[in-house]
Amino acid sequence: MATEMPDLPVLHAALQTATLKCSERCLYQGAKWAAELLNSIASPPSTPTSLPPTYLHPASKDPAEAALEASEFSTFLLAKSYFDVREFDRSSHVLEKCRSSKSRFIHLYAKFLAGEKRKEEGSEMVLGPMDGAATQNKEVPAILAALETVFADKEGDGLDWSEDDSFLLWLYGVVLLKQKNEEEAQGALIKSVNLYPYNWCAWQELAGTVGSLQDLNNILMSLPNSIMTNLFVLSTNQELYQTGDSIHSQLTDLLAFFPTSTWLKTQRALLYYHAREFEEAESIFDQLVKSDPHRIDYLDHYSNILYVMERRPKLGFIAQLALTTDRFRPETNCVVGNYYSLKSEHEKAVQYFRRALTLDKTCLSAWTLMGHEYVEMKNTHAAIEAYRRAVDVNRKDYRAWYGLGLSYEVLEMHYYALFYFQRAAALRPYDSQMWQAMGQCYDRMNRPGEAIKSFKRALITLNSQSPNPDSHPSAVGEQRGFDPLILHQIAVMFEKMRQPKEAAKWMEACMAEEENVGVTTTTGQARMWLARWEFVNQNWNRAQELANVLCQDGQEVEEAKALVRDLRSR
Amino acid sequence: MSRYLTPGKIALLVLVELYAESRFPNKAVLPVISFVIKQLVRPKDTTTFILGLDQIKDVTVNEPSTVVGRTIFDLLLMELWYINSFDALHTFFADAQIYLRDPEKQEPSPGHVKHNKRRFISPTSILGCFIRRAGLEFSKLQFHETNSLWGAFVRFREPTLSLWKKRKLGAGPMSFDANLKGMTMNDLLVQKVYGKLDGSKDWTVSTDDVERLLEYQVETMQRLGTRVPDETQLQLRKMLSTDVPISHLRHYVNFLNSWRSGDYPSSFDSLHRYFDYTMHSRDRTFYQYALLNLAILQADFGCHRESVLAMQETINTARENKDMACLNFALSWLYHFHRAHPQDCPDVIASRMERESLQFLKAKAKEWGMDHLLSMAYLSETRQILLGGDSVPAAFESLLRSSHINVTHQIHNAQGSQILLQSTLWSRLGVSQLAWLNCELFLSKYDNGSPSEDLVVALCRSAYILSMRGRFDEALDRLEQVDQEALRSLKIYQYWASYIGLIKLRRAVYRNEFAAAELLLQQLTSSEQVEPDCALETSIAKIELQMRTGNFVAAMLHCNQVSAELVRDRADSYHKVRLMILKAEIFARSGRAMKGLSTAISAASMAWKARFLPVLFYAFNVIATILIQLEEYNAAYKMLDSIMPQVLECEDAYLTAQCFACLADGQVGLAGTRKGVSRAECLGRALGFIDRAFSEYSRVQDVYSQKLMMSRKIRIQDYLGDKTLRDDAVKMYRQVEQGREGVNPGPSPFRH
Repeated sequence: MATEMPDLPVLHAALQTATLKCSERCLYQGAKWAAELLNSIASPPSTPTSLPPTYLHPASKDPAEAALEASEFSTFLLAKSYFDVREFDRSSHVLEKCRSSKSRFIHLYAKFLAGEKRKEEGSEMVLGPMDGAATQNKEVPAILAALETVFADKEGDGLDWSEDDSFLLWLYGVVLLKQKNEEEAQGALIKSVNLYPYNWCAWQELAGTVGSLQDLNNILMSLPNSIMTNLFVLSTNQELYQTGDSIHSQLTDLLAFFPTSTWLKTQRALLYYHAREFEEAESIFDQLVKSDPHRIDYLDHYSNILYVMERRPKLGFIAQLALTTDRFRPETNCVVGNYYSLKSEHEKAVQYFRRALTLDKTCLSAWTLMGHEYVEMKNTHAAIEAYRRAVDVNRKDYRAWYGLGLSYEVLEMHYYALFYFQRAAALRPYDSQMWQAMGQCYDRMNRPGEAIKSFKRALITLNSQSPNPDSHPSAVGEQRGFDPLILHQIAVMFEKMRQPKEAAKWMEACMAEEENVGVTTTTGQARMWLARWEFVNQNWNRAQELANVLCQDGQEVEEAKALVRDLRSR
Repeated sequence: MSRYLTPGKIALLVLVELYAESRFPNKAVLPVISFVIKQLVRPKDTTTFILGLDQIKDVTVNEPSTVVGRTIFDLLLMELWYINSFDALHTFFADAQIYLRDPEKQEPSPGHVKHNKRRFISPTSILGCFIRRAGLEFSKLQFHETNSLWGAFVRFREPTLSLWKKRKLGAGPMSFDANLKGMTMNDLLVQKVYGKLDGSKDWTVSTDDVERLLEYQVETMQRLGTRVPDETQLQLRKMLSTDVPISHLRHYVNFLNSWRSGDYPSSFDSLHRYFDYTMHSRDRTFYQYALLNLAILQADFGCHRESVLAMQETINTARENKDMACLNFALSWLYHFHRAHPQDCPDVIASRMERESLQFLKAKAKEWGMDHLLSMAYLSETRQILLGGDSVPAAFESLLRSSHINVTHQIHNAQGSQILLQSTLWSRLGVSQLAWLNCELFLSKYDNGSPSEDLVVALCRSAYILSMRGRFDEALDRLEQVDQEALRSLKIYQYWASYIGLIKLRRAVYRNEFAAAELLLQQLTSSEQVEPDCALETSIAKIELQMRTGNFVAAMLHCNQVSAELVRDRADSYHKVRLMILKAEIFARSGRAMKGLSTAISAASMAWKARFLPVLFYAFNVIATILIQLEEYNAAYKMLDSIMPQVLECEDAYLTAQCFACLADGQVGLAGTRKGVSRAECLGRALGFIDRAFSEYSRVQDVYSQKLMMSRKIRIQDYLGDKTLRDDAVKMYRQVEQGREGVNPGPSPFRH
C-alpha cells in the first residue's frame, strides 16, 4: 500500500471534475462525497479568477465522443432535467437513441432506478409477504443485455476504453451485484475504478464485494495507483473491523491531506468504536456534531456508541438534533429507535426502525437493531428474519450474525446457531464474546473438546498480550487479566471429559484471577470445586483452608460448612 | 398540535407530585390543590383554559412549604428546572406513575427512601386520573411530538430563569439543557436545535383545552340561550392561532352562535357541517340529534311545516335507535309546538298529539326518571288548565308539583318557567302585586344560571305590570336595565324590543298621541317574529286606538278578525274573553248598547267561571256603562260599587279610572231621579268619584279623559252653583291642557 501522494493542485482539479462528472450523471452521493473531500483539502491552490468552460460540462477527452456529446446536448439536458424531478422512465425514454457514453449511462441508470422504484412499491410493507427476494428489479436483465452489447461492440470495434466508460462499468457492476454475480461484478468495478478512480460510488460497490481481509489483499494489486485507493483501503479495513495501529497511521497520513474531512474523522471514530474505545469515539463525534450540526450521516453509529455507553440524555439530545434536521432520514429514525430501545420501550423502537427501513430498505443498522429489539420482545422468528435481511444487505455485520446465532440458541437449534457464531467469529476473530458463545454452543451439543478450543480462543482478546492458551494453565494464570468465567468454563469442560486433573489446574487459574477481579461467584464456585477436589484427594489441610475461606463469605456458605463438618469428622 | 399535554399541564403535574411527597403544609393543600383541580374538571368560568406560569405563581407564591424559607413556587421552580434535558422529561413522566402505587403494598426498595413519606394517590381520584392520563398521553406521543412538547416547555420555563439563578449557583442561560454545558447561545449546535424555538407558539394549547372551552361554551349557550361573549371569542381565536387542530365542536358553537344571532343560512350550514364531521368519529349515530336540532332551528326561523316534518323524522329515528331521552324530548317539544301553532301541524300530528297527550309524556318521564321533563310536563299541564279556563286549584296543584320537583332535584333552568307561570296565574286572579313580586323574585334570586330568555321575559312582564299601574317611565327604565349580553340573541332582542314598543304604544294611545301611536303600531306589526302574547296586546292596543279615533267600524273588523284567529288556534280563553268584552265595549261606545249587553254578560259569566278576575271586572265596567246608557243607574252603581275593592287590588290604573268614571256617571244619573238633598248628596259623591277617576287617569297620562273628568266636574259645580270651586276646576282644566303641550308631561300634578 505505497501509493504516491498526488500533487495537491492536480488532486484539487481532479476532485472538482469528479464532483461535476458525478453530478452530471446524477450520482448525487458520489458528487457529495467528492465535494466534501474537495473542501477539506489543507491548502487549496489559489483560486483562479474565472472558471474554465470545461467546468460547466466536462466533456470527454476523446474528440469523437465529445462531438457526439455536443450533438446530443439538448436531449441530454432534457433527460437530465426529467431525472432531477424523478421522472425516471421519461428520462430514460428520451435518451433511447443516443449514442454517447454519457447519454447511454443516464438512459440505463434511469431505467435501473425506475426498476428500483417499482420494486420498492411492489414490496409493500417492511417484513411483509412481498418484502425480500419475492420482489425483484425487473429492469435488471434488460440493462444487463444492453450493457453487454455496448461492451461487445467496443471490443469488436477494438476501441479503447475511456474514462467515460467507467460509469457504464460501474452500472454493470451494480447490476451484476443485484444478480448476486459477485465475481464478475468485482471485475467490472475494478476495471471501472482503474479507468476513472474518482467515482466514489464505484469504490463503495467494490467494498461491498470484499468479504474478508483475504479478498482485500487479493484485489489490492489490481487497483490503480491513486489516493482514492488509499481511501478505499482505509474504509474497507474499517468495515472489516481492522483496528490495528497501521490503519490509524494510514488515517493520520490521509488526514494530513484532508485535515477537515468529516468523512475521515468519522472513519477514525468508527475505528475506535470497533476497538471498543468508546470515549475516544464519542469525543470525535462530539466535535463533528459541533462543527457541522446539519450533518446526519453516520449519526446512527454515534447513537450506537452512546447506546453502549448508556448516555441517555445525550442520546436523546442527538435524536433531537437529527429530528430538527430531517425527520425522514433513515439515520434519524435509527437514532430515535436507539433512544427508545435504551429506555426499554421496544415497541416504539421497532416502530422507528421500521420507519427507517421504509425509507431505505438497505439500511443495515436498522435491520440489525430491529433484530435486537425483536429479541428483546421475545419475537424470535421476526428477529431471525430481521437479522437475515441485515446479513443479506451486508455480510460483514458481525452483530447480525451473532444475533442470528443467539436467536437460534433461544430456539434450541444449536447446530444452526453454531454456524452463525462461526461467521461472527470469523469477522471478529479477537472478540472473546463470539468465541465464548461458540464454546457454549459446543457445550450444549456435547462436544466438550471443541468447546475447550473455543473457550481457549476466547481468552485471546484484542488488548491482552496474547499468551498462548494452549500452554500450561498455570502459565496462563501468570499472565493476568483473563475472564474467570471462561477459565471456569474450560475447567467444567475438562471435568465433563473426565479429566479432573486438567480441570483442577484451570480451576486454580480461575481462583487466581481473584487477585485481579476480586471475589466473584465464579471464583467462589471454583474454590468450592477445588475444596471438594482436595477432599477427594484426601488433601485435608488444603481442603480445610479453602473451605474456611468460603465459610467467611461467599455464596455457598452452607455447602462449605457441611464440608468443614465432614473434614472435622475425619 | 397537542392532544392533551402542554407545559402548563407539566407544571400542574409537578404540583401534584409535590403534594404527593407531602411537601405542602396542611394550610397550603386546600388553595393549591383546588387550583389544580379547577384546571382539570369541567370548567365553571372562562379563566381556566390557557394556563400560564403567572397564574400558577399567583396561587403558589404566597404559600409556604415544608422547607423553611421556601414557598411552594420555589419548590415548583426547582422541580421544573431539574427537568434539564429531553431525556429528563421522559424520566419525569415515567416517575410520575409511582405515586399511583400504594406505598403500603409495595415492599420498600432501598433506593427510594424518600418515598416513604409520600401520599398514596388513588388511581381513580381526579389527581390519579390526571397522572394516568398524562402518562398515557405522553407515551402516545411520537418522538417529534415529544420534542415539540419539550421545546414548548423550555419556552414556558424560560421567564423564571432569573429567579432560578438566585436559588442555584452556576445557573446560566444554557442551563435549560444539561447537554449544552460549556456552549453559548451562538453555537451552531445550539442554534440548530433550539434556534427555532423563539416566538413559536406550538404546543402552548392542546386540543383538550380547546375542546373544554368549546364544550363549556356549548353548555353555557344551551343552558342560558345566549351567544358567545366577545371575551371568549377572543380567547378562542388566540387558541386557534397556535396551530391546534380545530375541534368539530367549533362548528356546533358556530351553529349556536349564528342561530342566536338570527343568521339562518350560516347556522344551517354550520349545523350540517358539524354533523358531517362527527358522523364518522362517534360510535353512536347522532342522526336523531341532528334532526332534532334542525327541527328546532327551523321552528325558530318560522318554517313551521318543515320543522314538524323534521321532528317527525326525529321521532321515528329515535324510536328505531331506542333513544328514549331523545324521543321523549322530541315528543314533548312536538306537543308544545302543537299547542303553540296548531294551524301548522298536519292533521296526523294533531290527532296523535291529542292521543299521546300530557298523560303519556308524564308517564314516560316518570318511567325514565327524566325529572326535567316531568317538571316541564307538570308546567304544561298547568298551562293547559289555564288555557282551558279550568279549575284554578288544579292549576295550583300542578304548579306545586313542578316546583317540588325543581327544588328537590335542583333543576335550575326550569325554575324560570315555573315562576313565570305562577306570576301569570296571579295576574289572572287579579293579584297584580303578587304577580309583580314573583317576577322580581326570579330576577333577583335566580339570575345566576337561568336561561337569559326567562330572565328577559320576567323583566318584560314586570315592566308591563308597572306600566299598567301608570308608571311608564319607571317601566321603561326597568327595561333598559336588561343584560346587554342577552340582547345579542335575536329572539330575545325582538321580545324585549316589542315590549318596549308595546309600553310606548299604550302610553301614546292614552296620551292621544295618535301619530306616534300609528308609527309604533306599524313598527310592531311589521316584524313577523313576535311572541303571540305580545302580538295580542298589540292588537288590543290597536283596537283601543281605533276606538279613540272614533273609527269603530275598523275596530270592530279588527276585533272580529283577531277573535276568529284565536278561535282557530284554540288559544287561551282568557284572551278570547277579553276580545269579547272589547267587542261589547265597541258596541257600547258606538251607541248600540243593547247589542253589546248580551256579549258583555256572556263574557262576564265565562270570566267568572274561569276566575279571570281582571277581565271580569272589565266586563262589569262595560256592563255598567251599558246599564247607564239604558238609564239603569242604580243597578250599574251597585254592581260596580260592590266590586270596587277588588278592582283597586288589580292595580290596573286605567280600569280603576274607568270604574270610577262609571260610578260617577251612575251617581249623576241617580241624581237625576232624585230631588233636593238627596240629589246634592249624589252629586257630591259623583264629584268624589270624578276626582278619583281624574287622579287615576292622570297616572296613565290620559289627557283626554282627564279633561273629560274636569269638564264634568265643572258642569256639576256649575249646577251646584259653587263658583269658586268651579273656577278652580276650570283652572285645572287649563293646566291639564297646557301640561299636554309641555315637552315632558311627567306625572300629573294632580295625582294626589
